[in-house]
Amino acid sequence: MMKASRWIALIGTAALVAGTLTGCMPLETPGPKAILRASLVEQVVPFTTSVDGSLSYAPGGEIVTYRWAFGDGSSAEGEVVEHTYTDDGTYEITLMIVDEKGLSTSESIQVKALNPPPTADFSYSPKSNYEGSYVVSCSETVTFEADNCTDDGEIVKYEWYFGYRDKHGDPVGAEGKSVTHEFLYAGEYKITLTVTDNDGGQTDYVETLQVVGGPPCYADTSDGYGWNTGGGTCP
Amino acid sequence: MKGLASVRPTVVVAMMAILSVGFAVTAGPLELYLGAGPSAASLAEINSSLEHINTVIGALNEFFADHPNVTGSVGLLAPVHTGLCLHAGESLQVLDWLEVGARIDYTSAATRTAGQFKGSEDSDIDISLRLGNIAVMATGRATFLDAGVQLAADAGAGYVHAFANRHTTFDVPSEYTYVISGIPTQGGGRFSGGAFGWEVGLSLRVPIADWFVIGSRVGYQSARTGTLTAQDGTPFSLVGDESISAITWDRVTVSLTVSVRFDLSPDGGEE
Repeated sequence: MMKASRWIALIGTAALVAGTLTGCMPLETPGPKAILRASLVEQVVPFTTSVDGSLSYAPGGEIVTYRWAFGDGSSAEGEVVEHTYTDDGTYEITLMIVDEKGLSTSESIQVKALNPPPTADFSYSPKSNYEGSYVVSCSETVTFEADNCTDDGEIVKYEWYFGYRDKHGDPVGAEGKSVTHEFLYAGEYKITLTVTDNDGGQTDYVETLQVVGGPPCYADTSDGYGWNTGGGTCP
Repeated sequence: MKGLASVRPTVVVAMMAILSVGFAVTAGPLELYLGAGPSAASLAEINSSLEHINTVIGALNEFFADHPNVTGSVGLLAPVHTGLCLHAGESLQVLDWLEVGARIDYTSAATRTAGQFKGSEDSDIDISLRLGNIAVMATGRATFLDAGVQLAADAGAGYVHAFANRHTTFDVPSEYTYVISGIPTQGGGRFSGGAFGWEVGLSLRVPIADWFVIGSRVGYQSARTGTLTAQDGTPFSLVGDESISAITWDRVTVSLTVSVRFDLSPDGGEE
């Protein structure tokens, strides 16, 4: 015959075991999990990316809402949606899902919408057609015009490099949309125009300039630069 | 807190030892026992992350199933629900129906997958995870039926030290045209933590001799640890940068036990 204390121990323990095994085991299913994938996450604007939340799942249930936020102020709903980024910047695409029990979760990935670089081009004058090629003459003042440059925003800087260095070793160049320069020596010069837009994007445009003729009489030739006199003489 | 966590098991064991010695000088038989058996754990948070990883692996397998330039597939990770539990302990009879004592048990479970996608370059996926815990429990056992076989209910409380060994290599083939979220956390390490735990159980024991008992026990142990951390403080995570903030180690264990009894009473057990 068991004592009363044993009955209490038995009943209490049995209740505890039964309650534990049936009620305290974490039978609740975990909440939904959001998994998203995107077809493009780094591209020059404008670009369209397709985002897909179909890998998301809700254990023991069903996802009833797929809500997307694209980080640029726009949003959409749907399992698979497309979005076009038109402004450069870094954005976060966030997928929020809600299951039929009302449980929700979200997941994000980062998108880099890149600034489109400006286009660069220039023209120069005067120039002569010499045996099928355009040339400029020594001592002639050449005007360079960056007149065909474009950008989705604004070009804020035009930098020129005239293809040679001075006697101190510094590159010879200028700044401005329209600049002039006088070449003292005959030869080939690779003229580089670098344009910078308001988002910091840069583009170089390079064109070779053929300079012919002798140096002008005031040219400083003491540094040993050679030139083609072209048969001319100085007084 | 970390220091405190490392001290707790030692303190618990010391307290149990003191209690046991204290009872030993005043009470009856001391029983030493060993046991082993399967253990089924919930580990809901871990298995949820494994399901997430399986979803990503499944998406890669599906994408490359008919791909002209990529071959291979990767198996899915099995959930970590079951493992082996080993335990050892002692109990001291303080009343004819009540024993108190201490038990230490070790449980582990593991899962692994490995595979490769061969495309413009080889992309390896190799994920292994081993989870375990060592529980040090102060226990009490009430025998409510003794008729040749003994039926007893027990309960205990103590410290559960949990650990996770993880290694992950997860290379997404460059031919995969999507960027996907929730890529498994690369790298590995050993992560650990601890928490207070409790348990209840029922046991059936059959005395073969005065000094030798065999039996079986079904027990439920519950513990919930916070974030496991590596030695450098890195939190344990399986998916992305999202650390697993808590792990539920609740488990049911069925074990076979073998016990040896020593009579420590002053009269040597003689009436």
